[in-house]
Amino acid sequence: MSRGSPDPQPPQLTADMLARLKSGDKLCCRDFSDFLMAYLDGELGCDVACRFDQHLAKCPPCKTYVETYRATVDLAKESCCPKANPQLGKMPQELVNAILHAVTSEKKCE
Amino acid sequence: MSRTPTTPATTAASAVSAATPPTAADERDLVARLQKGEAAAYEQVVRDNGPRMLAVARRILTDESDAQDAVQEAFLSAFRSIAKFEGGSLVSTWLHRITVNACLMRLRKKRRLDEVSLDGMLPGFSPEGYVTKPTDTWVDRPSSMEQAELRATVRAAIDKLPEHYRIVLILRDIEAMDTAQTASLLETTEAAVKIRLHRARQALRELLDPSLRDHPDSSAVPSVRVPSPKNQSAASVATKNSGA
Repeated sequence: MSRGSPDPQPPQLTADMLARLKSGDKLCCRDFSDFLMAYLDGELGCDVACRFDQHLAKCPPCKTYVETYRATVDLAKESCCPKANPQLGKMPQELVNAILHAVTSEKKCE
Repeated sequence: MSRTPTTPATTAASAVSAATPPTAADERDLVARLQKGEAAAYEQVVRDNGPRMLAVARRILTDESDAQDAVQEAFLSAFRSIAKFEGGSLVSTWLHRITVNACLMRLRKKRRLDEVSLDGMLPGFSPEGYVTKPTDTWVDRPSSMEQAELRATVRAAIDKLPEHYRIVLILRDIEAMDTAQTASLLETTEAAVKIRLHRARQALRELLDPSLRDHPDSSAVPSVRVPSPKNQSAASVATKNSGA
């Protein structure tokens, strides 16, 4: 993300796990949790997605987890939107003036 | 950066603009006027886009002074390069991206984007990979009065996320940037953005869970779970091993 900082490196892990899932190994809650976003975004192949569907149908904790995960995303969006925070987009007049002044000053120097 | 008022206030403080989108002809005209150096065009752009840019900056930079400075920098940077603007996007979209960049530059300078582990904020599992703690449903959406409180709780929880993850959540879920744009701005890969976004959402869910559970009394879950190394999820272990 930032310059000089290492990126997380799960591709190998992802490839390993996907291979394991495709091989027919049992799907556990941790697999479901780790691949949940890919599942919700429709990025898993049909065979793997079907196994996720089956796990979801018989695992109430994971079903609840999906619901609360989705609710988390919705809440984050709602809580940070300008409609919910009218103050967030209030622009002080002095900032407008300062920007216009700085622009004018730069133009004069050109 | 100086914010000394230099001209009399001509309008009251403005809120986020809900103006109708400009037509292509309006945009071409505006860009032409900006490229000619028309002062009125600059003022129009600042007044029309400033509130939205400041809202973005306030979300990314929690410090008000930093947010205002970033917006000022963004406008100056945009106006300096207006001659090169070819109209590939709307002016507002272009300014949005420049503002996000200005904010990220500030975070980088403060080294707030250094890697921090999310250990303790990710779900825990048994060694066999199954859920170890009861997962409770969440309360229905509260009344409008409670809604404000809930939103404040959510915003506070977002602010508790390590910066590295908070930024991805803001850019993807709140600013609605796509994965490729986010990866480009953060100088990383799309895969890394996806992983961070998922972990950020999981961590935020864990932080909100104690406040939103349907049966708070039955909750044995602390506000931030600290799984033992054995019970950490595979993702958590991968994060730790990779230094993320």
